[in-house]
Amino acid sequence: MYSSFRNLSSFCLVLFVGSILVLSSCENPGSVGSGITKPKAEISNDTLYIQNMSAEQTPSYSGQLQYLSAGQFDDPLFGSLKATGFVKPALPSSGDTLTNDLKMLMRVRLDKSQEYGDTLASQSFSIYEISEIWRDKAIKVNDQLSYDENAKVGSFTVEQEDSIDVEISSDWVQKYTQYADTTSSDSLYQLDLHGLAIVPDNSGKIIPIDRNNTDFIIQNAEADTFAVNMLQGAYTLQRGSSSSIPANSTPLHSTYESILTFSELGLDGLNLQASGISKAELILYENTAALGQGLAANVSRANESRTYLQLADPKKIPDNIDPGIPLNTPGAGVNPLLKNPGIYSAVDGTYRIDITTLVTSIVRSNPPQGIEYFITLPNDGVIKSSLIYTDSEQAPASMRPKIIITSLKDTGN
Amino acid sequence: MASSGSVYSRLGIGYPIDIANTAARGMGLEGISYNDTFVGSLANPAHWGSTVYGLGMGGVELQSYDATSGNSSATNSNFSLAQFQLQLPIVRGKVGLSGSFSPVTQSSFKTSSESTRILGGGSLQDTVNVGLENRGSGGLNRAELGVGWQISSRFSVGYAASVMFLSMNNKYFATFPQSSYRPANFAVETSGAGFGNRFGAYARFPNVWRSKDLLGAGLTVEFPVTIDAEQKNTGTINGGGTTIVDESATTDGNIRMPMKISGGISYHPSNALMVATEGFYQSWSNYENELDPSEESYFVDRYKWGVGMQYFPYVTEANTFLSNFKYRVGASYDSGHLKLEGERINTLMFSLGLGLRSPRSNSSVDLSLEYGIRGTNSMDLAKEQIWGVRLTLNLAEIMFFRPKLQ
Repeated sequence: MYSSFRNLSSFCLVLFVGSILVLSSCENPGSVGSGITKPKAEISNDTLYIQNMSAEQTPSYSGQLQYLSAGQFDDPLFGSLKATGFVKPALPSSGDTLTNDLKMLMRVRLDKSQEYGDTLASQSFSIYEISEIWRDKAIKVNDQLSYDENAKVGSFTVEQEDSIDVEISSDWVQKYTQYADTTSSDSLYQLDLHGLAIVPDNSGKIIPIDRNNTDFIIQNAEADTFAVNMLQGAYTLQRGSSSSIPANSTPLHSTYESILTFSELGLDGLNLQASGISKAELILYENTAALGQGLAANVSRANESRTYLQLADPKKIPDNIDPGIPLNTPGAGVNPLLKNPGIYSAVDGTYRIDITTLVTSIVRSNPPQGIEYFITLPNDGVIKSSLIYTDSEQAPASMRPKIIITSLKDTGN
Repeated sequence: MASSGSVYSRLGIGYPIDIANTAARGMGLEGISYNDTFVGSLANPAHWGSTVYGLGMGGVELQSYDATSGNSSATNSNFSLAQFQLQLPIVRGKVGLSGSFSPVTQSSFKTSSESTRILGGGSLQDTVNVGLENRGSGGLNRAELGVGWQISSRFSVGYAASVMFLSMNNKYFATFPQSSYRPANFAVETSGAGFGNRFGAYARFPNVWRSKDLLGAGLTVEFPVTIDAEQKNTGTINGGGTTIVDESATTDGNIRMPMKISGGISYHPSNALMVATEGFYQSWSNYENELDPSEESYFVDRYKWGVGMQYFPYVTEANTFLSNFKYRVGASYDSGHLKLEGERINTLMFSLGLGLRSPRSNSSVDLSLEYGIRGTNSMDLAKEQIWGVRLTLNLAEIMFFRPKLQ
């Protein structure tokens, strides 16, 4: 009897466990049942139009960037531009040989792909000695540095080449070598010799000079040839006024001479839940028609495929949004919420900025106080410009700045 | 672990779970109209008055749902803990106590769908494939304490008070094959508590038509329960690493559960055989949910009727192997508490039960097997084939009383 019970108990236990395993493994959930009542969740697409977008003039720092620009061009849309480059070579190291008959060449590396102006034109430059002390860390694009136009130390003309060696006059080289020989060379050199200004002589094009790859070659007739790096590099820009900007658009310059700003995204009333946000995109339309108007076939502006939406205290710009400031240097502790990158789509002429993380954060914990939104182009020393449709009533309704938010929404209540 | 059950448990606060123990389930009954001395039961508080042995009961169950709707099909399985009960004699055979924890409703489902959405317009138009999954879990559970009093050899009454705890989680997940879209989710969490109470009466009439026969009749009334509930929206971000609560979406409200009246008659022609029929009425049309009033129109009054029999051959002192067990069989029809698109979501269920007695004590193991059909394919609704197995361990004599003569 007891044995029978035990045997059957074991059998039932095995049967039950087996049933669990078989039935559990048979799970195959599908769409059955999803339509028995009105759906309580749905994918929603909300469009918000940015209100009160305006332009802000806050010229950027122009030194210590990847490029320094030099050249001149009369842009039919954005006005005349004259960019003057400023460079200063480093001193040779103590082991380098400097003979009396040495020659110095400035080996200029150019980024031809980012020329601004008539690509077929010849652009001539004269090199003068800078006559005032300056620091590339502090110079801004609208600053002016004086140089001695009576002390020309070299000249060169850029046509189609991407590298050019420019001989620096022996008078200036002689001054330069003096500082290499003194015991307190660095501080004296900083204070007394100010470097060279690269000044455009004609209006042809503006060329980005690759700061990191431009160096100074010192050739000794009877000793080694060596190179010294660029110690300082910057540029300034003089821009003439333009009357060609359409009223429905605002220029966007990489130099921050004109950036776009607005005060809020306008998320109130959207009934968004942070975890339900799948995609949020800020879309800016470029006025491609106006940008192309009046441009000759061989004239180009440097294309910019990126843009940024930055959150910043308006009282502290441009320092808090400028790439020259360590806070905003990629990889140097930038808060990703404060700087949202966007990309340009040539298909429809839009800048699309992914602000999913930003919107999620704002929905979750309200917008940060005391900030405004700024749209900038990357400032790497290349002069680039775009023209963006604003929320002006004169702008086509479909091309005004907007935010499109795709989200999963609770429609049950 | 299998954790999705009937697709109809999406509605309200889940699908109602019958109070029957496994033995009664094996007959398609609730267990109101008869009493088993060695098997605990929650069905009728009046039965607790005749408690002689300390009884403990606990079990698990697994149900599989093969659902079809149109050309779609799905298979879901749900493993869950069944009721637990401790039943103690205070005055042996006169007054007994019962403490229990049992499910009242269960929300357990998982549905998924895929669709293509065209978002935006003009140059911004984007064709997006969306996978949407909806998972529900939880339900209403009852922690109950009750007393039964056998007033006379023929009549017993009982009362039970309970606290009902509601805890439900309804999660939605959206996924997109397109990498520019992040997965999105949110969950609606509902919680709350309410007080319930119910009364039961049981009458037994021996020697009605023949010697040693027994006619039993039971009646229970379960009063409406108002649950003070809170509903909040939550979700996860950072790949599920951070849970957030949308405070602005938190709402409060009452959920009013309906009254239930159950009754039944059993007849024991002999100690070995019993036939019974039982039914109940539940006023689901009075169900109210202030948190989601849009669903209230789906609920209709529910009727359930079952008939079953059990046979205990060992009572006849038969000595074959198969005579050592308890056998049960039955069927039930449940009109359901839902009416969707004009169609009642009814359930027809067939049950088999097997009881295994311990040779050394009065403890036993009850096993029930069920097969049923729920719902309809009309009006694009879902029809489910239900397979269920439930196992309960019935402990008798534990701790409190051991017969002097074994």
